[in-house]
Amino acid sequence: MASCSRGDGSCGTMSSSALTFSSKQADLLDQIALREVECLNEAPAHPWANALKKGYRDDAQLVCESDADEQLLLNIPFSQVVKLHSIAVAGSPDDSGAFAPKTIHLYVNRPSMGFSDCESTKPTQTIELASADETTVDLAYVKFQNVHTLSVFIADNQGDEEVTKLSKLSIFGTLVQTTNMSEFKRVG
Amino acid sequence: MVLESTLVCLDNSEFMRNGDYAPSRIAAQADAVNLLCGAKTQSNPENTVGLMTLAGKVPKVLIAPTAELGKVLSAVHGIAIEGEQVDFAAGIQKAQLALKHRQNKNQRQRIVLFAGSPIETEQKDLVKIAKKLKKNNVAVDIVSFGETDSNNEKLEAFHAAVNSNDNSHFVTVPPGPALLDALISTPIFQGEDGGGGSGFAAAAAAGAAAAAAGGGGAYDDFGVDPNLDPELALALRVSMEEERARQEAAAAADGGVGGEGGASGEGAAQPVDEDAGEDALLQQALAMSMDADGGDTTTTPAPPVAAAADDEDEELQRALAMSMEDADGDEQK
Repeated sequence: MASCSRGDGSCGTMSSSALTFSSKQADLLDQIALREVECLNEAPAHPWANALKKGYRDDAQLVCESDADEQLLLNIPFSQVVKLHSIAVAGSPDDSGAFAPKTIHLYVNRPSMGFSDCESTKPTQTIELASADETTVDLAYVKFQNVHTLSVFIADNQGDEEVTKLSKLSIFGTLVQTTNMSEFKRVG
Repeated sequence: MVLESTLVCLDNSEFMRNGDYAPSRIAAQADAVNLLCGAKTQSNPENTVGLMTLAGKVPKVLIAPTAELGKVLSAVHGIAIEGEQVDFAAGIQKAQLALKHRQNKNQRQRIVLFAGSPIETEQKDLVKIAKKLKKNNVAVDIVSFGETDSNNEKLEAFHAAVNSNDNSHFVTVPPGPALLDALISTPIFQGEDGGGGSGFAAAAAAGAAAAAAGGGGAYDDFGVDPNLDPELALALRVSMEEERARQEAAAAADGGVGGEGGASGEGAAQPVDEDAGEDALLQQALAMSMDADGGDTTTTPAPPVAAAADDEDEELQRALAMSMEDADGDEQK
């Protein structure tokens, strides 16, 4: 399940199969407040949209690339509070995956993360990836119960290269149950 | 129309008492900042501008980035000269912190740094900070004035390290009465798109230019203010270029034939003595121009051009003879 054939440059089947692990866990793409997503150290020609947006993220050739060094920091705010179950990450297949992200630190609910904060803050969870193939990683569900902002800090890459190339990042989870106004009954 | 949050760092050290920028460095700076803040807020309604001073005990953020121009202007008014030195390293880092906690994460971050006193910070430390800023997607515009000789090396290194995709600009302003006028035409005021998107700056530019030099700097050759109507100015410039190119091409083609076209004839004949290879080119051009004349090609035989003609008199003679031939040909028809 963690691998994905990339010969045709698409991974479209992956996201649908990823959804099957639990009918309740949905792709939270629609809950991401795309206008407010911020990516630090992204190369201007390779913005975060290539890794996050629908359509773009499924194209392995469209990547989010780091600029000054190998680190990338994505601040992803959600339009409403969510519970996160897992994330799927794919690196660029270029150079047999040397540019793909390796160590990823996740931080919850820190809207103004910067690189200096990453060093001083204990991550909510750390993920180690082994290859550039799309990998779905389960998160420590209890720690991601009330998320309005997810910060994804990519610390290094597989081949110790100067730049990191992230091809896809999708987030799965559920909405925190909010008041359903249609079921709301007037009392008294 | 870039959506951005700008933090302007003012130099308010004792060096600002110097009168080399009229009326004084601090006043010239204040003028520039007033206009810059106006230009920034006008270019996009959601833009915010903040203000901080670099000198004094510590660098101080006077106004965190805000969309209210009035607040910034009144803060500029209240700036006093204090402190002998500027701690640029601390100032720039503080500015970055102020930008980082902006409300609207959609805004890009920009620092405008006015540097008018000697920089004590080591160059390698500055470069280190610049790299950090670049990593955090902060653009830095630098205005170097006053102590340009001693500062520029460091500032250029800083600019080179922070510049990403040409988003940062470095401007050196020599001493003179017009710090503001020198800045208005720079990308710092015009914005990255360079379209002169800020009517505010444009209007101010027109006013300032009219007041200063009767339309000296801001107006170009056509008597049109490029800031007021950039499209017209561009169209004028393009058509001017096209016309110039056309004339050059015509001059090159006419070369020998254009005995009557005095100016173009001279222009083409001049380089002949310098290079014998030109002759061949000239012949080619001649042949082409004959072709262009259409029917003439058949009636008029190829001109008996002597290959060794490297003398201007001969050229002229030849041109005359040919124009006569042309005229004859026309009459015969």
